[in-house]
Amino acid sequence: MGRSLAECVDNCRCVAIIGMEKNAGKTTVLNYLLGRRLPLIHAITSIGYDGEDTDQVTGTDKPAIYVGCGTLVATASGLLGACDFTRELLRFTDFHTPMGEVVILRALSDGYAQIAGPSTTVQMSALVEMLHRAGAERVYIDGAAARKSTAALSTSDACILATGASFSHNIEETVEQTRHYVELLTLPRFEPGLPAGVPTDNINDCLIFSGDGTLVNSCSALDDQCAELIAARNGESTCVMVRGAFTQRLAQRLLDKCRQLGWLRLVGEDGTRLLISASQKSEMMRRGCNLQVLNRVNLCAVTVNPVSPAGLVFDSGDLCRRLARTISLPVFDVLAGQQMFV
Amino acid sequence: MHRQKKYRAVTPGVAWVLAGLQIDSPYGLAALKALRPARAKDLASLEQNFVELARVVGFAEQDCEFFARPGSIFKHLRYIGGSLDNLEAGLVIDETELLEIKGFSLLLTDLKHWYDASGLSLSSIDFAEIDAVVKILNPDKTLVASFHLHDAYSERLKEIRAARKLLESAILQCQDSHRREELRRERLEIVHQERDEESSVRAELGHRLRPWVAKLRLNGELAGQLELLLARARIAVEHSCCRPELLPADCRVSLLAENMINPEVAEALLSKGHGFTPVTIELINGTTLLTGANMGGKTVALLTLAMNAELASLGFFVFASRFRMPLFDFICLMAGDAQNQASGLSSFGAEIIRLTELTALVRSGVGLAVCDEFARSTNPSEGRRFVQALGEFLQRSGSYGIIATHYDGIKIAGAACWQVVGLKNRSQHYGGGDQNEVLGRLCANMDYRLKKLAGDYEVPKEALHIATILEVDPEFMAILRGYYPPEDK
Repeated sequence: MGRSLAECVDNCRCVAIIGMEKNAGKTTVLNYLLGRRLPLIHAITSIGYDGEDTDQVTGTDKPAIYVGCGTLVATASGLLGACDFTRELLRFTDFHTPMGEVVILRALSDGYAQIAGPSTTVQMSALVEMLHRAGAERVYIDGAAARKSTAALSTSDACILATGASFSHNIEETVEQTRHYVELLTLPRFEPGLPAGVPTDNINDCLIFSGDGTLVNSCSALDDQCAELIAARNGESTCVMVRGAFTQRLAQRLLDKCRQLGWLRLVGEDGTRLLISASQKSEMMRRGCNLQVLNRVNLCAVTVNPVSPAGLVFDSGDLCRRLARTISLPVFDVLAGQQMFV
Repeated sequence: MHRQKKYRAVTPGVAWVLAGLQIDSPYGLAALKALRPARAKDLASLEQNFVELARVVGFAEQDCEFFARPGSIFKHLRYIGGSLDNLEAGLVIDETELLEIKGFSLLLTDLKHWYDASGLSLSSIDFAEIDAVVKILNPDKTLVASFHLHDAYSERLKEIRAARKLLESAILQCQDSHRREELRRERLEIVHQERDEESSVRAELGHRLRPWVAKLRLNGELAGQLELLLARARIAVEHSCCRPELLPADCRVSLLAENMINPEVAEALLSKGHGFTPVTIELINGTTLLTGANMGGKTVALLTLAMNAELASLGFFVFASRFRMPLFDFICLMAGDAQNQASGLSSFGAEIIRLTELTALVRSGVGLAVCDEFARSTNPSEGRRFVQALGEFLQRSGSYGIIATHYDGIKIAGAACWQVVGLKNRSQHYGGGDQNEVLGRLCANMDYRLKKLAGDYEVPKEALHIATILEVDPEFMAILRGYYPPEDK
């Protein structure tokens, strides 16, 4: 028996909890972490709105976030009536959500929280900074389902991935997709980083560099022409940086055009932007493509929720052991006695 | 305060100045939105405004950090009108509204302290004392910027919270799930009691704060006025602007503008490494005619004059070393109006519409009419008659008009004539390089100053000369020269 989940995030100032799917158990993990009565001032916020009693997508009962006295909470003013802890209002943030402006509160008692935070990376980083300035020693960000968590991941210094039966009714499929996603998030970092002075507009988000680092072309990664431009470099050492989404369509067109990809280094902004399937990823790597990211996520644990909203229940131990065999990260089921599988 | 339309500047220079003002608070922005030019009848209040502006400028010139403290207060100020409306309407206000009012009161108390200590003591700004509001919202001895419904507000609230605390620790320690469920139900009950009591406390706080609403509103307005005044002073200090000398509209004394600058044009020139030649001109009551070489800066001179006159009427110091003007009832600018053309009017149609507006304005009071190349869009023989008529009309109107024109032979009894000095060295060789470079050398040799002519003017024939310098196509030039009398070639 090794470390606990709480110990895995021991020295982190900002921890994002993201899920493979809705109902993957993010809130349960949050409550577990918030429930550790550490001599630390915790803060919590969320990407967009979560924490409602019933999941708005599936209609199933969801656990509410329970915060302890002293915890800082950043949530929309329209949700204050739904938070039942006694509180002190510390400040306004000027970040507006459909449920009102985000305000920072300090809990003066224990109680249930409804949390809605900003959804852009810029606002989330500024909010985390405000929370630290207000005294928070560790900030938890309740992230969204996987693909929408960019704002949480680029702000935090550690991340926990929640997965489970809600993802697929097939345990092997759940394990396989979790492995694929973990690999994407933890792809090696492109060490030279983004070259200085390259254009950073949102339209031409695919930058094509020659081997010596000269920008030779740029286009939109969503444009069909993009695959042609990359494939035109066939055989010449090339580095392609995709700052937006690298889609399955683009990956497939590239695979169709090039039998060999040894000349290609493909660098995504971070793992969440690489929207390719597991088979595409392994095929690209088999053909020699070097996949990297500008921002590598510090993924420190995977948690499982063996119960799906549809009533399907996996064997927790079995799921944890299968995951632990395929990924090199600690795996926890926080409800099943917080044991760790490695 | 939010329904009012923003003032639409007459001149592009004023639009540029207003857009660059350092104003951060919603109250300052409201004051800016409410800004309207002073009319002839407002002479006394505009003079009072200049007395106060001069005072602020004097303080700021002594202390380079003068604007720092109030500036940081204005940055944090939030608009609390909505919360005050709710308070006034007798609604039970919520915690965020209380936090908003507290934050506002703390900042305004800070601002009042700064203002009182600064020694400015302006007659238009006297902040109301609102320490009592801060005391109501901060029952603790230590002053904090945050807000919560403090135990001190209600003995019952204190008791409920103590009971809640006991229950919550009991829940944490309870091992029996059945008993824990029971305790949770009890907790829910007590949470409801706390909510109800908090609501009574908020209602009571609203009751105590209600008498202060008018003073809070007043302080917000004053903060806005002060911010606008400081922003005007900041511009005056940064650009060494001068205080305009105002005259009554019906004085018939000339408008005198010495060494005027157009900051927008000056900035554009500076970025290309050029300087702005200050403009000096005097406008008589009646008509002043301005002529000059093509590219001689007539348009810039007119816009600079109109901008400064408009700035003065808006309570700003002006970009000049001396500026004496009657306080006008209107300032009318007739210059190439792209907007009218964009809306589908022909250029002549647009000019006639502006002319109709001008004639109506002239009958309503004494004003300043600035006309750049009037009737340029019709044929020259008729255009000349239009300009002649406008000149005569303005000459007898009692207003102050300036008309820049290329037309020869305009003769208006009593009108003053001014001319751009023009090219310094007519015989200099400007050729070589591309047309843009030649153009640059030409500008460098242009003397943009204006000179007063003793008698009638004669329109300088510089167009042929400049076209020659710019090396326009020889075939075209040959045809053109054929149409000039021998002495002009």
